[in-house]
Amino acid sequence: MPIKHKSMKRWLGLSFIFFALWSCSKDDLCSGETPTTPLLTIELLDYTDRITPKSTNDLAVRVRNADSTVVYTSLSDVTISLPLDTESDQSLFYLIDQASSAESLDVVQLDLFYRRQDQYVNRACAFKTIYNNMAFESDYTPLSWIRDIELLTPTVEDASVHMYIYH
Amino acid sequence: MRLYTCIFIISLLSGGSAFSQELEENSGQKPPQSTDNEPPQQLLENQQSFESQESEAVYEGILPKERLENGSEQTILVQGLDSLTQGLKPAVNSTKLTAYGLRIGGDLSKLLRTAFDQNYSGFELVGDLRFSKRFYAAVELGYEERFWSEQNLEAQINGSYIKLGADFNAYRNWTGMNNGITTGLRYGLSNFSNTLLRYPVYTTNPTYSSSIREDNVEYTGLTAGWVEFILAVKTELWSNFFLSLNVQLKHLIHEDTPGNFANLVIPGFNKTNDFSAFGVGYGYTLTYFIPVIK
Repeated sequence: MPIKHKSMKRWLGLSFIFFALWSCSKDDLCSGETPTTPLLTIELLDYTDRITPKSTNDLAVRVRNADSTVVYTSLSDVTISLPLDTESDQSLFYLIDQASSAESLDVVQLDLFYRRQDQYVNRACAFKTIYNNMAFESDYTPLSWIRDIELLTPTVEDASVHMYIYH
Repeated sequence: MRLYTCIFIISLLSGGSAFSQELEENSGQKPPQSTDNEPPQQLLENQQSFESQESEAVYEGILPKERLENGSEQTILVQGLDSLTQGLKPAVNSTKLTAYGLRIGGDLSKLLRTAFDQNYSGFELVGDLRFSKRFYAAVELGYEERFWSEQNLEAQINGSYIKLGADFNAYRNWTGMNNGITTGLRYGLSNFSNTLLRYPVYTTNPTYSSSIREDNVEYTGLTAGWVEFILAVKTELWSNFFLSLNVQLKHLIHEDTPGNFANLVIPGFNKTNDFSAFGVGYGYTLTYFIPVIK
């Protein structure tokens, strides 16, 4: 039946807006753009001038656990990102240079220590962990592929560069 | 009276076609309000004002002819209701139209939800007071306990709320009818507690697995306030018993954010939204009208 009643049209219009608003909630899935638990971002620099980015040479990063889980591999990159354990106050890694070659592979340990803090993000992503009081230990020597390591910030909470590795 | 209610509902369902049209036209010249002990002469005037609409609206059938005391023949016409003509008389007793009083009751939908939804329990008492011909002061009082589960979050929110405001009846009733389409505004205020039960840490790298944390962090004494637009259809089911369906559009004005968490739902406001301050709700209430002044 055709609608002639003016105010009835108004009600229908209002109820339409109402149900449109009802259905348009977009907070169901955690968007990839939302910053959640950060990764430790490391930039690789040339040891000789300490400024020029120097790419890796067949790098592999493994967790120092029973399985030696592979975390990261890259043939040539100037920045690498490593996850930090959200269940423990330390994350232990092997940084392996020329990982594919059996003879000349070069392993350096990198141990990271921190305090964890869970932070609310939003209803879709729930919580993230941020890391405070960052500290590291490493067994690099003048003979290993890594010559020096510098920690830039005591807190890992965003995607900025947190650490320099000179090689 | 149930017949009038029936007609009212039919008119709503049919999208307010010709029948509503007629009501609209009637609304231009409403029959004068009358009191309990009005003289017969005024009744006659009521009838005549009905008749005066005759030329403006489109009518098909002819409804009961009544011979009044002064002998003049009054014809009342209504479209498309020939089958219903038996009981349809223009109201002679118009006391209901001017009945002022208190309407109190409760929300049926919240009781039903309490019975069938494990994650919800709550109730709401509603009341309104007619203070002028078309305006009502309105209040809702409620209590809700909600277990809220998102994909990555579980929380328990308990609290009470009060909503204060006014309703405006936009529906022009026929004499003797007491139905309504009301629009109203409310200010809502809630006092509640919010307990974070379980959550995992969201990570983008699968190297380290994240366990579910069960901290049971409780935030108490939180408050939130909002304004609410409410649209309701009210019908008189039986004498003085009203059934009402309403929808609510809310806009959050202020809220206490619980430390390192958020209010996923607020009692009375319902689900909040991360990206806007709007909320929605509905109600299905049964109320009883206590006349105070007629």
